[in-house]
Amino acid sequence: MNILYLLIPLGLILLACAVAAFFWAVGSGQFDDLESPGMSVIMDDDEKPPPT
Amino acid sequence: MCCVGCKAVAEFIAGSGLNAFYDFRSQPDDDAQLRPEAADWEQFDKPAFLNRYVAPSGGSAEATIDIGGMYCSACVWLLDKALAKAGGIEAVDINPAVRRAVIRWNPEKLTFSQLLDAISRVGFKPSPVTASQVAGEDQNARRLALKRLIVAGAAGMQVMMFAVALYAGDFFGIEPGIEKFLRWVSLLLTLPVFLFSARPFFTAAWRGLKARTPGMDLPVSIAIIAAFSASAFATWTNHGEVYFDSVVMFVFFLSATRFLEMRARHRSLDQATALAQLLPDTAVRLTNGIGEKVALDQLQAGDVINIRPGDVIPVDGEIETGALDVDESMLSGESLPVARAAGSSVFAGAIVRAGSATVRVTQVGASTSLAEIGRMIDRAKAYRPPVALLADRIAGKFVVAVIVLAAIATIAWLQLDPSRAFSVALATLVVTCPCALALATPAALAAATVRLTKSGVLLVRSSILQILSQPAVLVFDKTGTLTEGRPVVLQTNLLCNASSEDDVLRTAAVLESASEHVLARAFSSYYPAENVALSDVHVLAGYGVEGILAGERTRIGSADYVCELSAAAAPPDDESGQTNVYLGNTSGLLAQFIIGDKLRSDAVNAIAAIQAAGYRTIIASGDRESAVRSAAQAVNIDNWHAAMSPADKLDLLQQLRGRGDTVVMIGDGVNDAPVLAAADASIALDAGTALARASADAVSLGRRLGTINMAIAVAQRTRRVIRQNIGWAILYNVTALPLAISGILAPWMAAIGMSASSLIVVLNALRLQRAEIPEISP
Repeated sequence: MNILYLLIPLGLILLACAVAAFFWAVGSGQFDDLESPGMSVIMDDDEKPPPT
Repeated sequence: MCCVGCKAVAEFIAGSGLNAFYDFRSQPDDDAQLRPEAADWEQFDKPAFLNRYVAPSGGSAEATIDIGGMYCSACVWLLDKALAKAGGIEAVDINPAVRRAVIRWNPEKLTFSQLLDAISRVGFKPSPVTASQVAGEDQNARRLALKRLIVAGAAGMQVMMFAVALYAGDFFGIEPGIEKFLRWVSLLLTLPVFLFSARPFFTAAWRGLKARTPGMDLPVSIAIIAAFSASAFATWTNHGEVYFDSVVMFVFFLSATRFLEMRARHRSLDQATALAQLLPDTAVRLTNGIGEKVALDQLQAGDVINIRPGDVIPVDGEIETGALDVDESMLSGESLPVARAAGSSVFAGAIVRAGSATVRVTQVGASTSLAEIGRMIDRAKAYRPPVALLADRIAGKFVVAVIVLAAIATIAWLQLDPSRAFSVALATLVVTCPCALALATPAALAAATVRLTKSGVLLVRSSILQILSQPAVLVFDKTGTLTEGRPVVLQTNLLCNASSEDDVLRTAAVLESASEHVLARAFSSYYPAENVALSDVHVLAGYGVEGILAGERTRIGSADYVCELSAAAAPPDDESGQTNVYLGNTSGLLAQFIIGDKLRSDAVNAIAAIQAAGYRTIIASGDRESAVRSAAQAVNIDNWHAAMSPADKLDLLQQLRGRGDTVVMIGDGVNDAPVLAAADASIALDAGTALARASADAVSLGRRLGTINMAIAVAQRTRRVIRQNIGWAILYNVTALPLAISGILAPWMAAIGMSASSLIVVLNALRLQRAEIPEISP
């Protein structure tokens, strides 16, 4: 089981990375609005309708 | 239709020949006020305003604008399109959650006023925000809370994982080295939770201690600190049990509840704050009859200023000469303009719809009622209510009792068998860790908050759930609460045979389009699709409108005013208590309109359901007796009071509370603000004022009264769940405590029992989130 002494610290480093990434995401405002970005894909910007 | 965005979508649907959609839609039309109001934005091009609201960045300008009337993603789409058409826009970032847009544009191609006009033309109400407001303390607080939450969550999952390994180790055996290692890792992971995530609890507890009013945060902090330090000590000495898992779970769930509460509080108040900021920078001061433009901060009480149509009144004052129709919606929530004659008071923030006057200044700056509202909103935002819930009080005493018991047990065991004293003390502490008890309420409240938000009720203070859960007296305001709060044409009586109902309504709409008067809005939905030439228009404030329409001089307004044109005899007003408006031309009267306030579409069913649930209902309204009576009869409420002043309402409330009744106030206006605050709990409706929202415990979004039923149903379920949880937690603790003190229970058994009891409590609470509650049909 000695491998745990390596794997757990590795896991902790990954966790720290994940938390850091989350902090960055929160700081850059990605969690301020959770609704409208999901809708943005259906708001198309085509000015002209495609020829039929 | 909820908003202009939906209207645009509806027009698209109709334009594409997809009208069949309306045969299949599930929800009826709530017919919002969708006609954009004309506004004068040119004042925003003055340097004073530009400096305040617009920040130059390179060759372009940037401004943050609050968008009133934006509710959904369709609105974002519409606003995006509208701005794209305006030209000169470089970047737009719209956040519908806080109804705010950050816009960057080229000031050479587009002036600030044109930009605002483009937004208002599609039907939104733009209000620019100054830089200091943008800084956004709220947003920072929200972000920080989210970070604290995620640290607790991420570390919590890891610690739980290691805890499972340790429990299994207690049972099946574990290498001492690995056990020690896992404990140290758990300590390492719990440290950021303890130092970072749990910090708000410690600071709040410390504040409470200093103010000598210890709140719920104190026992919470004691529990966290005690559990953490005992575990850390056990880890250090490598002796005894650790319960880092309890610490992180506890912090995580409490933080989650508080985060949800804070978000609801901010959301309900963001818009309100924005409203309270829009005062002009200058005023026209009259000195010996000569007008002079001065900065607002140079005005003093006693000065006389000149007010013209379209102005925002910058100070509190008293009208000296002239008369005004003012829109005080920001202060009173009364959406209809109010007439103010010489001698009456006007308040800062009110918008002048018609008339001009000279006003003697009575209050300036920070002493105006508007500034007071701002302060109240700030207070409401900062206010952490003492959630005086049963479980929290018990948990607090419980912690103290447990610590005392553990101490006694330790001392006793030191006499009997010193080698076992420490393990017994720890088992006692672990088994009775009031986690399940402390989690019982917050977990249930968090789940209930999520459930209600889904249904359009924002809980500002979750303590309202406890109050709503038992039969209480619900006191309703009438205008804007039971009713829609805006005038509609209830009935049209033709007074001549020549024209049809549609014709007279169209004629009335065209004439009234010239007027800013309250009642004119009732006709706006009848405005004909094609433009009708209207010339020689005169608006006579207080009487009506005159104009030449299809070659005929036509008037709309009060009976006397309209009859003047044809010298016909004025007919008597009808007895219904509603307002009568007449339409006539030179040959006589054409029609009589009865204008009044319509009940909310689901009011009758919602009230019936509330009464059926055993709650008493009362109407307390400031409106005329006849109007209140007809509304009360329609919704079947026997106990109604009309023509009440705010003081009367307060008296009524105190009377009710004096009899031992729990009173819940439901209202929307400024008249209600003190009453909302004085009731045991209060719910403000979305259209309500800043002040009403600031003092309410919950804000109901949307136009339905059925949300009140929803809140009651969820509150009752929450109460049931909390009772089950507390019952379970107490039962568990009462059985486990003697076992632990007597030394029968090994610490690892205690830990498993404690975790299992917490888990049961949380799972039980989560049932609330999925609760299916039938909606009230209109």
